Amino acid sequence: MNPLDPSQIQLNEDGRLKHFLTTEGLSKEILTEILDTADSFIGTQSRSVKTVPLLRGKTVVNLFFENSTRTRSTFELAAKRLSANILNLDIARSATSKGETLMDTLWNLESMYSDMFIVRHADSGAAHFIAQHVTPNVAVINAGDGRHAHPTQAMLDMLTIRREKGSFENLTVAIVGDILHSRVARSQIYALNTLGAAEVRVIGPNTLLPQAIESLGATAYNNMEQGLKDVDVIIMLRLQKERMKNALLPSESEFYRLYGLTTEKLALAKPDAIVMHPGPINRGVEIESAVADGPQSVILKQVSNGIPMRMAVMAMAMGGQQSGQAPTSEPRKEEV
Amino acid sequence: MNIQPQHTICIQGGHVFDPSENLNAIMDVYIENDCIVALGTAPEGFTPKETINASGKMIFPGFIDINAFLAEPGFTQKGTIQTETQAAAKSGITTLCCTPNTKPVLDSSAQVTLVRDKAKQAGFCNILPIGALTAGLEGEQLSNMHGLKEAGCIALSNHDIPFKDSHVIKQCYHYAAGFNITVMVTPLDQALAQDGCMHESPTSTQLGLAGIGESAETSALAQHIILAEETGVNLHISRVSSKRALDMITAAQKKGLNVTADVALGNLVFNAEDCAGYNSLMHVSPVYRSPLDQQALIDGVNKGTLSICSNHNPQDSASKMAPFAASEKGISVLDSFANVIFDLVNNKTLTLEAAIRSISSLPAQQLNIQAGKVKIEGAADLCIVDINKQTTMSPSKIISKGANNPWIEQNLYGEVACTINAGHIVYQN
Repeated sequence: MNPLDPSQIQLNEDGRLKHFLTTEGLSKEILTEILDTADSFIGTQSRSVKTVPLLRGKTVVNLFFENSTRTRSTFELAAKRLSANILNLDIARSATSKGETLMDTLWNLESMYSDMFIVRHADSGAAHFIAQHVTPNVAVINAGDGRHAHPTQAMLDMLTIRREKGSFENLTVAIVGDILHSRVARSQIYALNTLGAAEVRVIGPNTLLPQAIESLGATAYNNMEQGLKDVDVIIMLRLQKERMKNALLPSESEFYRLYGLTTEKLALAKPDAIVMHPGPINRGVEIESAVADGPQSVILKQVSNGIPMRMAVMAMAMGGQQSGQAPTSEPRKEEV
Repeated sequence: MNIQPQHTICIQGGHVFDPSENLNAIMDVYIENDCIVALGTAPEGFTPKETINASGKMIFPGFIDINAFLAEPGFTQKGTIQTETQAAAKSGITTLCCTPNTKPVLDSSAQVTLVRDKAKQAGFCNILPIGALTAGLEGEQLSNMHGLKEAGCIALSNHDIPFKDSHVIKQCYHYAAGFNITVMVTPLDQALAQDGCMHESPTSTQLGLAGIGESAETSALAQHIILAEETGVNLHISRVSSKRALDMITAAQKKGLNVTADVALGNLVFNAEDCAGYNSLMHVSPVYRSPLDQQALIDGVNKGTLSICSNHNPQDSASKMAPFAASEKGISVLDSFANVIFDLVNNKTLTLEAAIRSISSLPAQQLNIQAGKVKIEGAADLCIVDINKQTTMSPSKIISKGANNPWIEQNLYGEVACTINAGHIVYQN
């Protein structure tokens, strides 16, 4: 067993989830269990008392090295609904800017006996790095690392697709826009393939498609009209404004003309196709308002599914930590 | 004048192997002071003060490493001339070219002299510094090239620091050519490389790491070759990483240009797929490219086009304890240099002849170094190796301050038994 293998590092000895770092390498059974668990939490969300005691007495630390109010808030809410204590650390502005290394920050937090780290970081692989080097009984949930992975977003999208379409078999899914810089797209491509989608397409200009994207299990299209033909699900990605610099794209207007999802382009997909977007949306840049707010859009349902999905992975990872190994009393330090 | 006491060694029963001198037989080696005085039969009246039993072992010319970062001055938390040259001696290296990217940089004869003096005090290897090609390695003004050569620099280089523009490169080459100074360059178009940290490949896509395409190396290389042709400079391409770059170098050599090249040892052992799992020990410069590139570089060594350098770059543990792209580049090689080479011979990746040539006579010829041969009246720089003995790279045996050795705990073939530098035993197992 390779300890660096992404699927191995996430599972305990019984093959249960103990960290959630990436959708890559996880089995269909585990991904389905995540979806089923999230489904079971959806019911609790409409009750007047929304909390369940699964993480009572546990300390969850939101470690956001990159600013993200939305994602951080959904994790915070999910932790509270699981009855955990939550600590929000705005690392982006504190420790590391004073020259403290990532390892020092982590060891300090470990010494406070935290049970779970929710990590967002600008470097690809940061969550893996943390999972490898913190005490074994701290669960690590990846809330987005560089261009690499954003597995909770991908899984809430899978939950939305399954609730809308019933299953993944025979589905053709198109992901549109800036694939190159998208951690969401990578996590979606792995999850869709594992869950049995018939075809995953990525649509964008060559400058926004990573090399050898086929090796991840997706077919690349430059032409949106061809790429959208007869698809069941359209996932639009957010286009960051800074992509207009650095010679990646000519202009917002040309991007919208070629890859913006309009009513006309939507008509090329199957009549019952659903439209998704991880948010926040740029109206008039990647999607027309009439489509974003239209009957085929499930964008707000994605937002609602965010809380139960995050509750599900937090509950499962904490469970995997407790069943997998006895807790150690002292924080452990590792050397290279 | 100092009168040195007569110092004599006899190495008995070893298998002397030096393809450049057509030596491949069991014979005794006789050393007097810093010279080899006889091979096979003892000179008349020779009485050895010291005898080394080398039976069952091979005797090679002392190895030459033409690219190692010794970290001193300026980065002594990562390594010192003492520790790093001692690690080199442990690997049979008797001549070592250190890179100019220290702090301060090696752009003055005073700094070069200081480094050479410290190396002499340490006494493990003959150090031939690579001086800075531009002042302060800033890539803008010519350094005092002639002065650096006089101070003992074997070549000049801007290491991994980019030039301001191509005019500066041309002027450096033009000036250096007039004084027969060899220039070393590692071609990289910074604009194409961007913020890449590994080879652009399916693995970089999978890991979400920014990739450096092969064109970042080859397009810069094309420019360097054209400018070398125009100026007539002796150009040494340091640390070639791709098949296409190697093909371009071979073509330039066929055309008769003074272009030579080496490859970093790591690029023969690892490829981009080894970056999977975000192993920060695989974060290096130049990057590890595809398995096809790796094989082409191995072939380049076996054919005698490429010499092998260590590209030693020791880092303290904190420098590598970070997510891949945020970690410092480089690996610590010197402790394992010989073991990795002989392991490549053992698993038939390299022929013994190519391996020895690529770390002795070939780099000597490329940089015009007076070393790298076993011959009578030549320097007594020798290395005695049991090439069939496996050793474990245990952390306790590591001498380099670098905590970034990727071969730790691995079993590798080839154990250096003894290293002799200028007639002195500088390492004995």
